[in-house]
Amino acid sequence: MPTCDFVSAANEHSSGLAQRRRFLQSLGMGGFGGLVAQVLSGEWGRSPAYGCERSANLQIQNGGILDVDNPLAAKSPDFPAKIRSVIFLFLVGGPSQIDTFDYKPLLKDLHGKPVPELFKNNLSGSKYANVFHGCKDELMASPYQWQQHGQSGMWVSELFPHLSKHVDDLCFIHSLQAESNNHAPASYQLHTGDVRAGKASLGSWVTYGLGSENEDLPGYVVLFDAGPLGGSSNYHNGFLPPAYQPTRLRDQGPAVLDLLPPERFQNGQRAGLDLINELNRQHQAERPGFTQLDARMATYELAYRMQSAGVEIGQFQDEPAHVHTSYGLDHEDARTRSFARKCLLARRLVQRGVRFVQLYDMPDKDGWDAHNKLPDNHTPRARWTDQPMAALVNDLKQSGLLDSTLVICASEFGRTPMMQDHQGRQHNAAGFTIWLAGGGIKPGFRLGSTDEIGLMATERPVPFPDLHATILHLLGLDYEKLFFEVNGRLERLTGVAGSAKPIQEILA
Amino acid sequence: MTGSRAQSNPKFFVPPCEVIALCHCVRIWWIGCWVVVASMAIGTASASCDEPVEDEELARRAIAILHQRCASCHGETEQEGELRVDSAEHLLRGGRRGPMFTRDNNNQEAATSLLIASVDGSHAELSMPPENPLPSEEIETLRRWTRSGAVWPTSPAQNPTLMSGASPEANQHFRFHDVWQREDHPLRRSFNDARWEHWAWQPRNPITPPPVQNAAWIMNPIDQFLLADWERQGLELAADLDRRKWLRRLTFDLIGLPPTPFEMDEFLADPSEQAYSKQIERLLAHPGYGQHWARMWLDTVRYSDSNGFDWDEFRPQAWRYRDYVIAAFQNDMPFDQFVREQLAGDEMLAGPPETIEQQQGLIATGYLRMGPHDNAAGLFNEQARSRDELLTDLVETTGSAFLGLTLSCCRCHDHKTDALLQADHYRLRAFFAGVEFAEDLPINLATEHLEIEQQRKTLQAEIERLEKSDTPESDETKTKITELKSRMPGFTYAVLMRDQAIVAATHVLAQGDYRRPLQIVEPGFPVMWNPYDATTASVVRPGSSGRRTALADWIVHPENPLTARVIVNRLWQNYFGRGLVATPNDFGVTGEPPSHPELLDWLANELIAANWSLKHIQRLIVGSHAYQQQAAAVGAKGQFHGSPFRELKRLTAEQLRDAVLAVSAKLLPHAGGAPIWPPLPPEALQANPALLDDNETKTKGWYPSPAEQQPVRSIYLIQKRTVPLPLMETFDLPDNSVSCGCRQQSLVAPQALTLLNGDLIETASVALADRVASLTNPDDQISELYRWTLQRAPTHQEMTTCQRFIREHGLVNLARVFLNVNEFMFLD
Repeated sequence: MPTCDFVSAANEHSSGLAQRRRFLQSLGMGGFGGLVAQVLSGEWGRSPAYGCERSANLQIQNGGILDVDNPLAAKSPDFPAKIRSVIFLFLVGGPSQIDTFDYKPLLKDLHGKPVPELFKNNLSGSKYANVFHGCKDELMASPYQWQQHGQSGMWVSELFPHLSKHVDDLCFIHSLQAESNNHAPASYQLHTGDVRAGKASLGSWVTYGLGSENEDLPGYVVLFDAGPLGGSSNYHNGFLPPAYQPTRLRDQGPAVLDLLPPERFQNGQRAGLDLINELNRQHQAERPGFTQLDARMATYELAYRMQSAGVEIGQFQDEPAHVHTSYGLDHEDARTRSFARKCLLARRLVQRGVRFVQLYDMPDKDGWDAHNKLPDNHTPRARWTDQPMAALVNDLKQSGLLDSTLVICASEFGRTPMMQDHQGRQHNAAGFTIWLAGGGIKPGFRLGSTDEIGLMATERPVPFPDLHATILHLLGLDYEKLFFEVNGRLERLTGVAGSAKPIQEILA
Repeated sequence: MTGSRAQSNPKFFVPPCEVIALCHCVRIWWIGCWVVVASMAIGTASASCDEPVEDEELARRAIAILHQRCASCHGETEQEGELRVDSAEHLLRGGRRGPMFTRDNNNQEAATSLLIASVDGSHAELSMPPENPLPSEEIETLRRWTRSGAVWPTSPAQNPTLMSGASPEANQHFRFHDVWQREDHPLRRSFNDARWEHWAWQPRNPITPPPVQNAAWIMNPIDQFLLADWERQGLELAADLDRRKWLRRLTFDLIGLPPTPFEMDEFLADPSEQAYSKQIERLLAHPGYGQHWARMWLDTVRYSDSNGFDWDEFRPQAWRYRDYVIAAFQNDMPFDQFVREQLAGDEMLAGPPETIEQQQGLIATGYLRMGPHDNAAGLFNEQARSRDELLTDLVETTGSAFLGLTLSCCRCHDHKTDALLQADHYRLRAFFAGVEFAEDLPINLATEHLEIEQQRKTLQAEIERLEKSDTPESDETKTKITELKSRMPGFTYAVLMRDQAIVAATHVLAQGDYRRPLQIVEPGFPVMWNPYDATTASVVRPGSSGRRTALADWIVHPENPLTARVIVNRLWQNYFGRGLVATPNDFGVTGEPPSHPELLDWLANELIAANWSLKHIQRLIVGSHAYQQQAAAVGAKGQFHGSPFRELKRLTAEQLRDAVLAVSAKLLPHAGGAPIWPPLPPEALQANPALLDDNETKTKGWYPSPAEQQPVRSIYLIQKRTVPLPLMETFDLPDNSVSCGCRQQSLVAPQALTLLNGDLIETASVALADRVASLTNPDDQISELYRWTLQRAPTHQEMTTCQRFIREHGLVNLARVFLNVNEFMFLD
């Protein structure tokens, strides 16, 4: 760990420059890219006086080189990055690993039988004892057919005929574990590192650490129909400055809420902006030296420019026909089309330098939460997501973007091999499967495993903080140095304890 | 001023990371622990800070076994066989039968020990514990522990109440004198540094305002403190605001709204000497005052109308707490009473409230309920996690809100910078250990209560009579029963907390993990002031523990060094944009030191002397000369002018929305009661899938209020946890899961889009244009727009520009411009 960070921060702190930076940082200035730096060049330094001094560590972070004049300006990573962007596909509600990617033939023999003592004891002796809560003591085999695919011979159930063609590009981890067996806390933990609400989400951390490469579009985008269980606390900026809040984009029409003027103002939009500018300049002339006035003027110009960028991003008609077909934009099922639009939008965003796209599969109130009649839940959901996800991976690969992009597909937890209700399955935080693909990740690889009935991770259990550390690591960020001070405590995505480690085995 | 303050900021003298890591590990193992293991422990300190080393974990488990299984007969109160097992020293000394174990030169345990022999059945005479032999795994734990050296890693949390029993000074000990002289004080043992010398822990002394040269400038003592500082630095004074700007600033600061043209005219025309103070008094009495200032407190106590987590259920009665806070500010409730009621209002009542005031005191305990609550935890057998989160939230929020203490660090380990032990977190938690939700506790006044009970009894008797009648199934009887049931009067409920009859023990938790309880602690105040157990208060409420009352009394004790400082700092911050302490929720070592410590203490003393009147302090602040000054600009010497204002203040989300509604004649004069639900765009409505899963009992949905109720003050808008209102969020409404002491402000492009294209501004622009349209002359229309939005007349040039704009784009478009300009958005 370099020790010079603190020293350089201490030296810099007393300088006028640092004071100006702290002031600007406290404004959380920048929005979609900020533009503030150029407006302010040549300004005399000012002391911090606005907003609270919640943190003075933006300078410390990244060894003191962070440009806090413009918090969303692209920043150099701590060490050479493997990837530039992240697309996080979140299948909300807990898809069953034993019906998708974690093949457990033993369940066929044990179907309808109680859970053998060995597995039961292992579980009840662990902190996941409550996973049994609400289940029948009766195992249920997967109702789906399984087959091996690709050179890697990956087992995939019949639910994912498209994705299974690309298993050689994917890396599976079969041994994730969450700290809660309930949706919101587990989901908060996967997004923010903590089962409690109020912390900063992965996307906010990444844009805080690296900024964004496109000034006309938000650096951190969320896409969904109905969002994750537990709502906005999942993808919120939490304690990080508001500049790192996510922007929800629509997959049809103007991408952002209030992007375009209502009819009444359409003709006067430019003239109105000009008058606002003129009055602002006069106002500012009487108040020299208050940089926030410049900064706010800049946001109006940026808003104006965003109007075109925000429309352009959703113009799928610019894409060739084969792209439409491959994603499923013309699929007969409206929900497949909806998820396809989000996946394509994610690719277009990443292509334009957007740093982090958090994309949810959640078209309704349930998601993959199959407590009852699992086939009725999982079969259609796989149909809605399989083709678009496969197309996304393939499209990124074909265009070369996959080398600089990480695609992750995960959920807050998996499901039990025990039956619940009628052919349903309970939540299972004790061991479940996710997949990753992209730059720096071993393709066609699998890590860890659950026991023979898919109940609990037994080989190489992976906690969420290690996944977080891996993502930051691939982005070239030292996850120990990426922190933000809150009430005297250095908060990190990977926790204050400092016990997280990147998952070395899956790194290419 | 700022420069020197920044340089002396101790935050930047933090040693490099490795050093911290090492120190911390050493501290876990050494400081505060038993000398016998010190030398060995230093040698093994190599793991990262918070990772439990295996030996430590083993030791914790072993010690927990000794506490649970043996200490009742061989502990602090009883020492059968003259043996105690609650410290390594006692074990080494042993009882009548000799040492429980010995250590050789390398601190390695001898192969056999009396401790193990007495529990594993191998001793000829002893078989302990006498009635319930230890399970084999516990014996194995003890055996492994003794074999590996019987390390007793007493972080002080292991033995926090060194000064056992109640304090001789009861709960009123805030100075360090006598106990601090003792080498065995837990903090002295723990922290081998002088962190208890930190300014904020020190008692406040009487302060005399310093003398100044320019005495004519002084309007009240606040000015003396500031001016003395500026004179010392040789700073020129920033000029005063003109009257217009001052009243604009004052009105936004006191009631969150702009002054009306009539209010402005009246003030400008007032030649009297009291013109300024008349405005101050008018606004302090204005109903908008409570509505504006309550928001500061609601941020601080993470107010929300919903539970959060998956279901985020509506809390239909939470508004009663919000209205309580508004009324408390409006009526200038003494702050000590405000604190007491929120923490323990229920314990002040023996039964149903007799008066409205008592009823308010009961509603105040809603404070204890404002944190997030995972209502679904029980479905997954995670009640223990949920309970732990509740108690953690109460300790952390109470620390932040009332004391400016950061108590989250010491949930897992001793605080790294402040004089707070891990035990402190749990000693404070113990004050809340009894709490339970009191959904079924009526808040009706006693008289009402009696009446309702009577009526219910009568009706119930009548129903029962009918049900037992000859024709219970007849339509006539059924109709009658239904009718009687519909007349059954109900009680009124609120979001309340009370104590359970039996208070569960509070354990220190290893690494803050609720699944790893260590030893039991009693309620106690931070060890730095009082290492003894707290004396619980005797309270009138039957069955209530009195713990929270004891805590409240301690918090508002006039000698408590923190409480008054923390609240006057919050007030100061809301006027000047920055507190005297810039980190309002952190008065600890990592927080910012006060820019004017004497002023802070003088204000705190003044607050207590004025019977904790917040309005008294605010009257002083806005009545000061400093409050009339312009924001600082750079003077001739290249330094700032002397002024407590460093920047122009941007309107908050609430001020912005309320001002837009006010100037467009939409704002409803008064509200209160159940929150108003704005209509949301469909996409925002989906921000939590729970909204799609609504039914009558779940209350997960979104229930838009009628259009005519919408334009209320923003404080009355619904505040769900998982569905923030887009407008408010865009303008930096903070996350309401945890206490927010100071909002971060952003200037981002989506704000411009909202104000250019959003519904609020479109509607308001039309209404604002309507307001001035009756004036036939465009010049008058323009002047009137200026008067309403910017509280001034247009310049000649502005008039010409605006005339041209109206001709080309119309009045509505011009109105929109005024709601967007910087002059509307910023306060001088």
